Order: sequence, then structure tokens, then C-alpha cells
Amino acid sequence: MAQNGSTSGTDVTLSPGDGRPSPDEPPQTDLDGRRQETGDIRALVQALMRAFSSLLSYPSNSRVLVKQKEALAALFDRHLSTHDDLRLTLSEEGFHAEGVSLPSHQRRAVTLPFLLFTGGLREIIFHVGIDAEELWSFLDAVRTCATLPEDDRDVESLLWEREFANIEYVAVEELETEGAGEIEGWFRELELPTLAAKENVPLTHLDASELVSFKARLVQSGGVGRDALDVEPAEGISEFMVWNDRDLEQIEQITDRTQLQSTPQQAVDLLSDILELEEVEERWTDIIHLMDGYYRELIQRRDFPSAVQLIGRLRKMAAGQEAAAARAQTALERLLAPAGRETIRETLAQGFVPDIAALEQFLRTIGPEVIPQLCAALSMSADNKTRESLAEMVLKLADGNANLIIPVAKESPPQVILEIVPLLGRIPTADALRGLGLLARHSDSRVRLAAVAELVKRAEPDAARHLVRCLSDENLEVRLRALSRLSMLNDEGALWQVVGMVEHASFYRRNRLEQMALIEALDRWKWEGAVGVLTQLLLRRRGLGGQDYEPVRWKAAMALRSIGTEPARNVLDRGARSWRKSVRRACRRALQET
Amino acid sequence: MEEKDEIRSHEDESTEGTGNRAPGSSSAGFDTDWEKRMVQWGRDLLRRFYGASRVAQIYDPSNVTFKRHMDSFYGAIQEFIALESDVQFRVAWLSLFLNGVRIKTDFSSFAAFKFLVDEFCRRGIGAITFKSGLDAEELTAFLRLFSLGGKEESGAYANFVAALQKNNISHVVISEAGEGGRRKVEDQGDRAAARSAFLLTMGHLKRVVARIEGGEPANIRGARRAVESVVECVDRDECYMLGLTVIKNYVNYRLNHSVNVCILSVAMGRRLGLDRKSLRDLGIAALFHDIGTLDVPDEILSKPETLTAEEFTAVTRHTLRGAEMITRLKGVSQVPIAAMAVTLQHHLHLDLSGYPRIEREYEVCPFARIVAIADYYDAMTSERPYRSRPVRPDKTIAHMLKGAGKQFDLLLLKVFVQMMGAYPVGSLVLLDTGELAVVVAPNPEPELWARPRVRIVRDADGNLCQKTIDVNLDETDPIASRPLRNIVKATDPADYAIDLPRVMLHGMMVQEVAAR
Repeated sequence: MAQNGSTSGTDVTLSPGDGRPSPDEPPQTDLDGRRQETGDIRALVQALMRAFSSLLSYPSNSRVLVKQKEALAALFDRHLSTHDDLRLTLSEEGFHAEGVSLPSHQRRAVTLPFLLFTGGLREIIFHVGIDAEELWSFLDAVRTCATLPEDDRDVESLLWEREFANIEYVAVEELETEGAGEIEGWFRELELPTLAAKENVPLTHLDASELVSFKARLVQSGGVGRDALDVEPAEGISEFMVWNDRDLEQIEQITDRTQLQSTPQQAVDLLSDILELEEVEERWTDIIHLMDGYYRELIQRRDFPSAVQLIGRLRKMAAGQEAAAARAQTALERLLAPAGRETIRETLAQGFVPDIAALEQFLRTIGPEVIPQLCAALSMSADNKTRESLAEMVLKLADGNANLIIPVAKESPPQVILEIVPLLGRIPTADALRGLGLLARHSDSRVRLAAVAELVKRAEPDAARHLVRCLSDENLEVRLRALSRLSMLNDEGALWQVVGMVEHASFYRRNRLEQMALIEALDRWKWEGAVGVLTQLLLRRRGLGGQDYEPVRWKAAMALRSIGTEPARNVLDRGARSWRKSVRRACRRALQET
Repeated sequence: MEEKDEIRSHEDESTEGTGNRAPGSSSAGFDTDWEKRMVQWGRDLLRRFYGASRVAQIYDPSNVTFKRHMDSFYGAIQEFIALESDVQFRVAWLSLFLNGVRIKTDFSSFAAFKFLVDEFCRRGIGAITFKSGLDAEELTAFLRLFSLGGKEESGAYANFVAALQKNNISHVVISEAGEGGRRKVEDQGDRAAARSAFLLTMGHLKRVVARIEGGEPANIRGARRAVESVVECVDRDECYMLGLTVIKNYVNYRLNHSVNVCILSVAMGRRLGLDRKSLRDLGIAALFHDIGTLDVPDEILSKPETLTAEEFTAVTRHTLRGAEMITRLKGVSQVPIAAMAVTLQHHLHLDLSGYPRIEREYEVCPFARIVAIADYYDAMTSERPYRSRPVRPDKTIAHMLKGAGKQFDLLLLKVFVQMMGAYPVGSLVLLDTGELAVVVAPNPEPELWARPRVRIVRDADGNLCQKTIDVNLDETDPIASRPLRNIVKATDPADYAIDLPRVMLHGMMVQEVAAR
């Protein structure tokens, strides 16, 4: 790649200059060529970084990625067709190429140059022959690195695994910082036991005689060579030097099995094996601690099938007659203790669960003990689909037994109870109703409101009893909801309660909406016993607004009309002739509507 | 100049209009099935190419064996040409490509792969293209030329091109190797890298061990990097790496043994055709396989007398403790899980004898089976307090064969035996010339197990050799048509004051003598 003489060997940040030529500058054509070239490299590197950013943001099958992959490969093709390779050096600021700095202006901590630089890479060389797949594989390796926790990132290793044919990289040697002294020390440690070196050592008696015998046999065999003598250093070794088709098949099976060796399932098996096989009691606590840590890790990684496997394996061991049964039971208790369940809650609270079926199976393995954590996770999860699934799982785990859920509600903060209330509402048992009744008296009005919302859906007589209690709730919305439902029921308790509320002086201090709702309830019930209180309300002098048209008074008149008994009609007739305009208008209107 | 132009024209021909793709070149219309088929064909073709070349080294074209191999190779080429128009083998960066598709080596094609890569590198050839129109006669002539031995020299490529022209071979086109194909067969730089990898691996293991002993969490990142170097070095020069395992450090046995087992296991894994990631995982597992011995008192490990029952139990517990320690290196998910399995199972025999004692159905994982073989071999061939002399490599192999299918996996043992040879690398052998030699590489053809490559260390009079003389025992006397040298037997280096590690590392004995 051509380099400008004045800037050769030094980095020049690409930035728009003022365009004035200096006396030392080379001819304009050289400069144009160089600008073109640096522009090309900059475009290439920017495309590389853009593609990496996209790879982090888009799913692998995205059209955006497909397009970028093609465009990137085309850019590389164009560049490498005229230059044999593209050599990029790395610093904390970004890429550098051919004396040109290409700083990364992206503010994110996971930019391509940053990940490569912090991974120890100092130079990358893309050789001619690289194709879209290889380029993408390179970016994908760095992407994989970005998804790992910072401590576990090892981009060099990830690149190494891919075995690129056309990408080379230079990385900081892990041991460079250790200093040469230490390596020298290792050399010294390798000092081997010295043997007395002798210039001349004749053959031992045994070897000499075997040599003579061998030669004699060789001559006897016609001198065709050792192979005809059937001398094997190890019996049957010749058979080990030939392959047959069956061998090939079996070797293939073995190599296939190596792929299964590094799976979490294998780790689960191994941990269980260790616990099973360890006979020293003092070690058990440590192993169980280790197991607990891994169990939580599996949950955090949402690897529920492996967690199921671990629990299952321990249960099986615990059910056995062997000495390992007791320690397996201890391990189970430890794993399923509230601390372990908290990990489930924390994990589920983080949101989206890709494999709900696996999660369900896992939760079933643990059993209803996990309900509190599930409810808590439900209250924190932002993903609607996951929330719905979690709710379903709570119900499945409870299996119609509200008593498994109610205690959770008692001990949980309001935001969790708000998730529990609808679940109780879906359990059609007296226990669930009792739970809702309890929650309808909770100190938090949001909870009471949610409980009333569920109570109003219930048809059991007991539901009305709880709702009647809600009529005296301090929260208007709770009272209105309860009243709205009660007005549709023919519940005597509710009736007396409402009559009492209307009769009481406090009625006139109530919100207009509530006043109306109370009278509407009496209207619906059409109960003759309410004539007295309604008459009292109709003829009331003060407290109903003092306007010509007073809705509450009119509602009372309407309620009397609905009751429709003779005393009720008499009240209305008398009222229609009243000297008080508001009474007269209310009664006349009610009678007209008849 | 004319010759250069000719070469250029060959190069042009070889890439023009053949539909061939350069290694890693754009794969428009990429087809995974097609690629898989190519890999299968490639391996098959490679084996036939190798077989025919080897036979051509030994037999005359009129020989029946030669004809059989020749027909097989020619038939395969014709079949391939019918499908793909041309057949191109290209070597770049020590990888082999067939019509642009990389042919990853597996154990069955290993010898062929190594042979071809070495031959390409030795002659500076980048690619050989068999073109449509090739006839059997021309192929025979080519194979005769290709099978001619000779030392690596700067003009090897030009000489080969000239020989092709002289023999009117026009349907086999060769092109010169680029930078990536220029590795020398015995590159000193590679060997320095191999020694460095060996020492660095030991150094990293030492550091991990020190941290574990200090009760601190250990980071295996450095060890991982070192094992990656081992994988690369084994890939470049397997024999030299195997030669390094002859180093047996009595004082620091644990570290030395672990690194040796790591090298042996990686080499086996490579022959099985494992991918790089698996090889690294296997290497790490092998490196840490004995980490549990940190928990066994040194007095027990170095006790020369027979162990008491209690002491033996303490020793057997190292597998369990080791597996546990592995998980503590950096958490269960951060270390290769295979390392846990290997540490736990490497003394568990295939028939579930050995330890830890397992009395239910149980399967020993493949990596543990590999490491068990490497571990046994290295332990037996090392000097230990309870053994006056290490067991000779050939005797160790003989012991191991008795355990095939019971203690060791039969097939994996086959791979190991073929890799090490009947006279394993580092064996001292007595030749029928009266010379003493150290085996430096097994014969790439397993059936020629009695004819490895050796380094003569003492002449027939018992004198130390003044310079490195390496000979292939399959070299034949051209007149008498019989081998020049035969192995009489393997013998004990201690009887002849042979410092095997130094012979393997440095070759020339005279320097060692002068140094003392």
C-alpha cells in the first residue's frame, strides 16, 4: 500500500483539513491517490464496525444482516483484489491502518476494536481469499465474546477455535509480563538427571548375543529383511496396526460422543457422581455447596432441563438404599431451600423465558414450595407472555388449593399480592373466597380494590357478605364497586346496610356519585321497607344541593316509583303537589315517567 | 525465464475455468451437503493418492501391487473429473483443500494427509491439478516422479516442474506455494515453538497448582492459551512433540507428567479428527487430570515401598478430589466439563475395575479413555520412587495391549499404538548393523511398524555419534532390494549411557558430551 512520504510511519487521524498544500507535500496526484486509499480503508473499517454493531442488535436471520454481510464481503473483495492483505493494528482508541488512525466514535463499551484490544489483540491481518462466511465467522466470534461476563471473555481463544484460513492476528503473549527470568527458571527445573557419558560403550552381553542370533536367522530367511522373521516387540501388535470398516464406524461414534462431553447435563451427572462416590463425610458439605452453586447457575442461565436433571438425580439417589441416600437428601434440602428458590425468583423476574415448557417441568419438579417466588417473579417480570405463563404455573402448582397461595399473600408486599388476587379469583373454592375476603380488608386500598374486583365476579352468597363489609370501606372506589355488585343481588344484609347508610346523617356528606349509587341500589331492590327512608330523603330540606333540579332527590322519587306500592305512590302524589319546587319537580317527573 | 513463463502458464491454467475455488474464496451458492460430499471424496481420493505414491516408491510400474493402487487412484480421479471437471489439491497454511474445500484430516486419512502436506512443502508446491484428458500412462509417470525422495532444497519446485515437462506430463499442472505453503518439514522455528509450548504449559500448570495449594482461586486462562499452543505444535510437527514427552523430570514429576499426558492426548485426539475446540478441551482435561494428587501427602506419593491399605485409599481418592478441585478453578461452567470427567474417570477402566469404585452401569467418557491411555503410558515410562528403572516404551505398549478392551478402549489403543509405533518415539533400538539408534518418528504407514525413522546414537563399535544421523528404516538397498537396516530389539538406554531427552531435543550427541 502506498504511503505518503511525509506521514510514513506516523499515524494521521482522518479529519477534514483546510485543503491548503504545504511546501513539503508531495504532488497533488499522489495526495489524491492516498486520500482515495485512506478513504477506502476508512470505509472498510467503518463497515466492519457497523456490521459488528448490527450483529449485536439483530437476530441472525435478519435481512439487515444478510445485506451487510454481502456489502462487507464486496468491500473486502475490492480492497484485497488490489492489495494482498489488510493489516489493522489496534489501540485503545480504535483501529489503525497504513499510518491512518480510525478511531471508534461509538460510545458503547462493546465496540469491535475495544473487545479485540482488551482481549489482547494488537494486530489483525485479513488476507486475500477471505470470503463472506469467514468474515462473518470472525465477527460472530467477537460477538460471542461480547455476550459473556467480562471476567470470562477470552476473544483470542474464541478466534483460535474458528481456525481461520485467511485471518491472522497478533496477540499479547500471556507470559510476556512474567519476564524472561521465570521461563529461565523453568528451563533450570527441567534439568535432567545426568548420566555418566561415556565415549564408548560396547553392547551388553545379552544384546550382543541377540544380535548374533538375529543375523543368523536373517541369513537363514534368505536375507529378505526383518519383516519375514515374525519378531514382534509386543504380542499381537500387528493386529493393532490395521483398520477395518467396523473400527472406522466405532471411532466415528467415539468422536461423536466427545461432543456431548462438555454439556451441562454431563456436569450435573459428574457432580452427582462425586457426591455419590465421596465417602469422606467432611467433604460432603463442600460438595453440596458446590452443587448448590451450580444449580443456581443453571437457573440463572435458564437451563431448566439441566436443573430438572440435577433435582431428579438427587431424588433418585435419596430414594435409594445406599449410604449416599442421606447426603442426597441433605443436598436436596439445600437446593430446594428458600435461598435456592430466591434464585428462581430473581431469574424469572428478569423477564422473558424462552422455553416456558422447560420452566414448567422444572417448577413441577420442585413443587408448590416455589409458589411464593413465582408470585414475586410475576410481580416483577416485564414480559407479558412470561407473566401469563407464570400465572398459569402458579395455578397448576396450587392445583386448586387456595391455601397454598393465601399464606403467600399474607406475607407478601402489596405489589405481589396484586398478582395473587386474580389467581385466587380463578380458584372456585370457598377457601379462595375466604382469601379474597381477607384481602378485601387489606390495609392497602389497591389490594382491597383488586379483591373486590374479584369478589364481584363470584356468585356465592358468601361473596356478598364480604362485599357488604366493603360498603364501609374508607375508599370510595371500593365502596362503589361493592355497591354496584350488591345492587344486583337480593341480599338482605346488603339492603339493611344501604338503608342504614342512606338514613345516616353522613349520607349527605358523601360523594354525589355514591349517594346516587346507594339510591339506585334501593331502586333496584324495590323493597317496600325502604319507603320510609326514601320519603325522608325526598322531603329533605337541606343537603341535596338546593337547586331546582336535584338529582339525588329525583333518584329517591324514582326509587319510590319503582317500589310502586300504595304508600310509595301516595308519597309521590303528595310530593307532586308540594309547595317546594324541588320536591314537586322530582315527584312530577317520576310520575310522568311512569 | 522460459521455465518461469511455463510455470506461470500452468498456474493460470490451474485456476482458470475449472470451477475451482481458492481456499476460503467466495462460496457463491454455498451448499453444505456438497461440501460434506467433497470432504468425503477428498479423504477417499487422498488415501488413494497416498497409497499409490507410497507403492510407487517401492515397486516398479509393472508390479501387480503398483498396478492395483494405480488403477484405484486413476479410477477415482476419472470419477471426480466427470463430476467436477478438474481435481485440484492445494496446500495452504498447512491445510489441504480439494477444489477449494478444506479437507479436515481424520484418523483414517491422517497418514495420507501428513504425507501429502509434507511432500507439497518439501517441494514448494502450492497446488496440483489433475486435468481432464489425463490418461493412466501420464498418471503413472507423474506418480513415479512424485514418489522420488530427495532433500528439501531451494530449487525443488523448479526441478519438479522441469521433470514434468521432460516427461511430457501436461494434464497434471502444478503451481508454486505461496507463503502459507512454505513450511519446511523440519522447521527449526516450529521446534523452538514446540519447546516453548512445552515449557509454557508446564509453567502455567505450575502457577495454577501454586494457587490451589495456597487456597486461592486459579485462573486457567494462561493454561488454556498454553494448551492451544500445544495443539498448534502437535499439528505442525507431531513427531517432535511426541519426542518432547521423552523428557521425564524426576524431581518435578507431577508437572512434567501432566504436560506429557497433555501432549499425548492432544496428538491422539488429532488423529481421531477432533476439531480444535475439542482438542483444546481434551488438552486442558489431560493437563489437570492428576490435580487431585495435590491432596495426597508427598510421603505417600514418593514412598518407595508398597503402600498400606490406608495409603492406597488416600491415593485413589485423588480422582474424586481432583474433579472437585477442577470445579473450584473458576466455577463449574467456566472450566471444560470434560476436565471434570477426565479427572474423575481416568483410573476407571473400561470394565469398571480400577477406581473410583462404581457398582452400577456406568460409561467412561471418551476423553477419559484417551487420557487413561496417555497417563498409563507416560507413568510407566517414567522413573518413579517405587520403580528402580522406567519400563521401556515397547514393553509398556506390550503391557497395554494385554489390557485392550478391558482396561483400555481397544480402538483408542489402536490409535495410540499406531501413533507411537511398535517401537515408540524415544525407544532405544539395536540395529542389525550393530548400531544403536533412538526412534524419532514412527513409520507413517502403520503396517510398516518395524521400520520407523531413527537417530543413530552409537555406531557399531559403541562410539557416540559425532553428528545427527537420521535414517528411515524402510530405506532399501537398491541393488539387493532389501532393507538397509533392521531392528533387532529395543534395549535399555541406561545400559548405554544414552540421555534420551537430550537426543530428542538436540540431536547431536557430541555437544552433550562436550558440555559435560
